[in-house]
Amino acid sequence: MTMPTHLDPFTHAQWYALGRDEDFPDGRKTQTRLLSQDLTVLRRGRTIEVTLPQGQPRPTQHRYGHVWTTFSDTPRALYDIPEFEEVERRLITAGAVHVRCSGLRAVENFLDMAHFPFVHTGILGVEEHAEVEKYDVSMDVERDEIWATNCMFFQPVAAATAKAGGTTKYKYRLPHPYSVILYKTCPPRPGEWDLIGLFIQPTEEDVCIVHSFVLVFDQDNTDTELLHFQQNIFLQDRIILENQIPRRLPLDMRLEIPTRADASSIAFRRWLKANGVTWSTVRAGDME
Amino acid sequence: MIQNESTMRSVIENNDLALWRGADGVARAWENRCPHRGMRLSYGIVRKNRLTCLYHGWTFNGEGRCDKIPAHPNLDPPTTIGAKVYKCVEVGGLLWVAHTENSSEPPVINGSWIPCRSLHFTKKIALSNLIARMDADPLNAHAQYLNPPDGAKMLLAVQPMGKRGTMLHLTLHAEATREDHLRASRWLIAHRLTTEIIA
Ligand code: FES
Ligand SMILES: [Fe+2]
Repeated sequence: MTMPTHLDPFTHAQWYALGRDEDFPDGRKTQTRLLSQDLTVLRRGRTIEVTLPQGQPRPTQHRYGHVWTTFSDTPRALYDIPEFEEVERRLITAGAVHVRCSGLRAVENFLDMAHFPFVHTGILGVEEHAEVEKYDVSMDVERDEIWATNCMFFQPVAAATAKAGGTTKYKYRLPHPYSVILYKTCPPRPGEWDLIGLFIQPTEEDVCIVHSFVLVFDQDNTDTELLHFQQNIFLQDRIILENQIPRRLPLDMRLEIPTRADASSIAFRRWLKANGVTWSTVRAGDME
Repeated sequence: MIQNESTMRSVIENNDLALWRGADGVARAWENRCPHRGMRLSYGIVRKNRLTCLYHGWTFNGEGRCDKIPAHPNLDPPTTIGAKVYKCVEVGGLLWVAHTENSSEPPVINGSWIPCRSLHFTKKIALSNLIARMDADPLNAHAQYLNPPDGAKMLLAVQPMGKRGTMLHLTLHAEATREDHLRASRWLIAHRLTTEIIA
């Protein structure tokens, strides 16, 4: 298998979500892309086959409502999300959304609270309450992942379940360069967290497919209502994502100026750098 | 045409630009990239004489300096944070933009000129081919005065946009009549037909 020039070992070693079972018509081949390479997906019932153009099979697994594959023969283990085992939760998946940006930019946008008042005005934030309070960022060294905790933000309508405004508490988990999970306080069950997450399929360095899920205790809203809430939010983000220059993520701190509110993005970029990630990032000479 | 308190995106070769005009009527040309996270500033919102980025609301004054970061309302942004500003002057009914490092003087154009037509060509256009059989005097490398036998004096400027082709901008001297404008506009459209379809 020939590897694209800028593919680094860490990016190569990950498992990637390609979609849900229902995204692949039974018995018919579907073409897709991953890390600038062609893949064919064939589903027969619950069995999924993923093959390279010359027909060589790649391993697959079903997890978190999605089908995953890897190009690596010694992949980095797919992370655990223990909340998926909690039976009272409902899983809603949104299906594939194509976005013309680096998947890393999409992760970073999802981590970011400071844009709520401007991009999701009247829903996730209001301009009069744009302040981002200090939050904590830590490394889970053993699992090699990043957590941002004690995040607070004032929101007029934090979720499909929220009827009034208030301060919402958040946590963010970054277990994978192309996955990000948001934990937010759950209005019907104080003390519990609702999960919203992205599994990103980087098709090219500057194009990605975003697969997303909601895993909640909510009993009041239908799947469609929860889905529409998320889709509406994501369409607003997409206008941003497709208009950031450059489309790949700069890891050099001099190219974009962060503030304290960007602590999680600083940690994410450092973590990518420490793991030798070059795929989908800005390289010397790009900005001329 | 940029109205007061509005923005517009433009491209010169491979440079993505945000053009905007404040309530003061002054036109500005900046690199189309917010220094915070790279959002195109042409998506921003102009209030009075300041431009606010759509993504996180960083706000820049007319000189490009960032003076407000809404995520940190009590912070005075360091004076070093700013948008990259280009030279921008408005003469002859046109905006002229150059890199700040570019030492060439902005064009001197006498009198007042009214925009007539701007047209997009999908190809690279050489001004010399377009005006080969016309009575013309060059203004600079990117513009020519044209003296048609049957109408008012015109000014034709070329804006190269790299792989996106070329924009041609035509303005007429303020004395031009409505007929002059119609004729000039038809002349430019005819040129596009010739270069884009027939050629
Ligand atoms: S990208 Fe412009 S304010 Fe953040
Ligand atoms: Fe968002």
